[in-house]
Amino acid sequence: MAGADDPVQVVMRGFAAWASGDMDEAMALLAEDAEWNHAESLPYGGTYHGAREIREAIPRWMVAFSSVRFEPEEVHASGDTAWVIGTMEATPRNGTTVRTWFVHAYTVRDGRMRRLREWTDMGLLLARQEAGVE
Amino acid sequence: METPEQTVLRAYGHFARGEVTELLAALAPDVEWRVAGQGGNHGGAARGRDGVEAVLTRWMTTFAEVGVRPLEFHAAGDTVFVVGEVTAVLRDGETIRSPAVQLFEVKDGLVTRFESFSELGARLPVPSVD
Repeated sequence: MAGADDPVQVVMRGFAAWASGDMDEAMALLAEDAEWNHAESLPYGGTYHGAREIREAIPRWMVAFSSVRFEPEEVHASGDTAWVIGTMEATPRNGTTVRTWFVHAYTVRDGRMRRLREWTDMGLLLARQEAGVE
Repeated sequence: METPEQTVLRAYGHFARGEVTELLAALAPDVEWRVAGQGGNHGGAARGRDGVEAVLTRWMTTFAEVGVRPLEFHAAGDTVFVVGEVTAVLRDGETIRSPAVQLFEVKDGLVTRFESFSELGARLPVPSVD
């Protein structure tokens, strides 16, 4: 697979857009019927349907953080899906930075992300921080 | 020769049946093993069959039971991603479950790398300390 349909290329454009704060570019990579399985344990965790619902959800989630950064460390293509493993770092507005692992799977169709799935223990670590459990 | 997915399935079978010797034999002698996340006796890295055996022994003394339920297999060349659920039963009988992704790299019918990503460590009631 190559070019616009290559899931790895599409996904890396998405990470680059997120890192540079270009949310318009990041959101433009979503298919209109995209489905996002946001890790259940994260704030606002659950499944979102459609690009519009996702575009509205992300700013709601981000409001509690001064920054959320992703560092992809390896990417693997399995058919139309790119699997990304890396480290994420979240800084709550009223807390200290938490770093932990993430795994994302992006299924790409016609150059856009059709399905996004994520796994991380970030939500639980943030909850522990908030509860004062070290 | 098995496909990478078949090798992974075989390893899961050995793990589920408690066949430690067979499980270790499915790993390359210099296998890299890592369980991501926090949680003392649950997480950590190991290298080689002896290192993995030490991890398995530690799990068996820490938990009443450790299980994994592989649900989806996604092959990417020699790498296989498995989506599923991991379970740990604590000594007091409490069961902790977490969604999980496990990665295997396979070469010549042996697992050369295993990584497990789950919330299990973060879900343990109190982080245990080695």
